[in-house]
Amino acid sequence: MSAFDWSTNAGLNAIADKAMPVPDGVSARVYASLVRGLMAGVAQLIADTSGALVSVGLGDLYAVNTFSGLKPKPGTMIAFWAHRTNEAEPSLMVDGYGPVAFLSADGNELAPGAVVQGQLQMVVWDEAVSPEKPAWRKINPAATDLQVLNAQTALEALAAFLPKEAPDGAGKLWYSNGSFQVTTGAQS
Amino acid sequence: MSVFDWSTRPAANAVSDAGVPALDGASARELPGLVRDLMAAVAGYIGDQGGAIRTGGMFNAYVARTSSGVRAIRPGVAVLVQVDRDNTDDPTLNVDGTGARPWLDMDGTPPPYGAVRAGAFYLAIASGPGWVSDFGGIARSDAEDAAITAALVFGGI
Repeated sequence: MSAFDWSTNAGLNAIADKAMPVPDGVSARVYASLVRGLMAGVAQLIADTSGALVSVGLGDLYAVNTFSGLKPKPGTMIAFWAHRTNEAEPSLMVDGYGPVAFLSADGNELAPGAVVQGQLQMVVWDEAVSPEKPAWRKINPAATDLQVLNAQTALEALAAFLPKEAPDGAGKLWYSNGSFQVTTGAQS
Repeated sequence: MSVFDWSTRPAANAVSDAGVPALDGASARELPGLVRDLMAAVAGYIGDQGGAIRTGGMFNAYVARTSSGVRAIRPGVAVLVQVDRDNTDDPTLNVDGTGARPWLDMDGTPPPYGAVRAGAFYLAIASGPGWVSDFGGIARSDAEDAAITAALVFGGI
């Protein structure tokens, strides 16, 4: 039980967290314990969202065990350090739930190499878009998510920048009719 | 009640949040209620920074409604929103009626057409007069710089 189980409805918090029941009339002896429970709940939350977790697992399965111990639901975000780089579409299992798809920020499959070993992965539970197939999504388009986009951007910029007519000389790059060309020096 | 109203100075929290009146001399009977209020406030904060907010509004004016309630835009306020539609022009973000403020990329420029993507989650951080998120602008400009450099080096132009 953890802060992820607490309710935004204060009245429900009397029994929301089995680890720290807070009904009216609870003994004054447990007040200090309740305050410690609050502090622990917040400390676990900080650890789970601020980079204290490291994934484990084989292949492209990333398994993460949180300090809080949670069941994913809308409004759940955690951050973990990836223990390895993915080689195919990755999946993510958090506290034994899953594995489910581990997607890029735009909801597409992550390309090989998009989850980089040693990089912090901030992921959020998403079941609003596909309720029948919930998944973890990365937050923001991290630099690694943009590798494919970057390559496309680079090529587009290069295509726009290069001459459209073959320049003089050999070994010069130019862009012709949708493909990159290199001059050979032979004049047509 | 809202954690965004809480103070980093413990003493100031006696009156910082009307939903959690933690005054010295409060009756012992009120303590369980205060603890429940604290739990509720933290639960609201978890949702607000955990992606529970889905934007509304129209066209490029995005509207977000938090569970906590953001009353003032100031440094240290951030919310994680899931966007309901792509942008077609410079977007604005209005959180809890604090005003439609410019929603910019990390490099201070407005995200271009389609850079705000439906379904994606963005951590919107209060910065200056508006909100800032990572829409990939810095990575895009790096890629363009690399392409121009490549053209100069390999294109011999």
